[in-house]
Amino acid sequence: MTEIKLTDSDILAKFAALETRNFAFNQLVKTYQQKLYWHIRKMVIDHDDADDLTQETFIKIWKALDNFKGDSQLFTWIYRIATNECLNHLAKKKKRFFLPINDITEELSNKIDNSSLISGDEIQLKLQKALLTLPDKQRLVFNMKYYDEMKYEEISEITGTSVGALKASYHLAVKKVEEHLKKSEF
Amino acid sequence: MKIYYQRIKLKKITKSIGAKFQYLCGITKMKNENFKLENISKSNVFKVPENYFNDLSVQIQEQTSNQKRVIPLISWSKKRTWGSIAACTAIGILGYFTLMPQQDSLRNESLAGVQNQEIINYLIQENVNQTDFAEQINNSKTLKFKDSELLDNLKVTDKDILQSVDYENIDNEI
Repeated sequence: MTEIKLTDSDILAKFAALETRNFAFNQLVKTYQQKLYWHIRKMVIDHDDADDLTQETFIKIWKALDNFKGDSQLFTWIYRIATNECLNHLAKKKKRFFLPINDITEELSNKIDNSSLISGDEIQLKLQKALLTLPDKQRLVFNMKYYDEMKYEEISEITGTSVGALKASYHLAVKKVEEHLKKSEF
Repeated sequence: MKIYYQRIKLKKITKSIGAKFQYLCGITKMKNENFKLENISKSNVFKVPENYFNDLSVQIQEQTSNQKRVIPLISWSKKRTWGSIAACTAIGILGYFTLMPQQDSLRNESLAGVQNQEIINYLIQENVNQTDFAEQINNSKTLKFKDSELLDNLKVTDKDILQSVDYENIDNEI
């Protein structure tokens, strides 16, 4: 039996009706759960954190979907919620580190080395560590452009930053990462 | 002589090893310097436990079905909160400037328009008689006169005093 894939507008229409609300939301979860999870995972690195944040994001979507006005696309609205969850989570984590020696970059870098749920070429792992040296928002832009191959206009809708600023931020991020990798040994 | 040649050979070998080492180092250095991001595979290095996404959707569905959707009648908004604070402050300031002068408005100038007879009637009505009033003056620290001053202020002449003396009982009093 093949599953019927609903479009975003179908999901919204069915969510508005009480009798099909749960069905519509389940469809939304199935459509977006992987995209959202990977978006979050690339930012927070740790699987357990990404799992918690993905669930929290969907609970927020469930609570707020009634208020979705359709000014933007559904997926950009969902990505915006997930992005805010990520950035808030990272900001909270940073506040916990009083000493610069034990900063969050080091903690996440250690996770890349030691987690059983991360594996890749040496150079790929080096790239992930180099990305951790970028500011969170710049890393976010880099991930969406480089890995998710999103358009600048879409990223702009999600982050609320102008296309010009995003282009500058991405090119700066690429330069920084390349410089970092040139210096490192591999 | 043999030893001499062996030394030269050894030197040559060392040199060649050194050159090879430098060459290898150079390659590595060159590799790093020519490094480009597009040469790195974009494949995902992050993994998830088996069946994770099936379990995730079930977990989310469980959580949402257990949650009662409460739609607040008035939702929180930053704008509205600041507006309320500003309105309360404005009411407070207006209240202060309008009510406060009324409370301490009973001054001499406001009594100027009231006729003496009305004040007397009021005092009688409130059971304030002359004796009470005199006692208040005596008790008041600010109104302490010497006898002569008091008489001067009251403008009582000696003649008036003599008239008020009770001659019949004066001997007994003395």
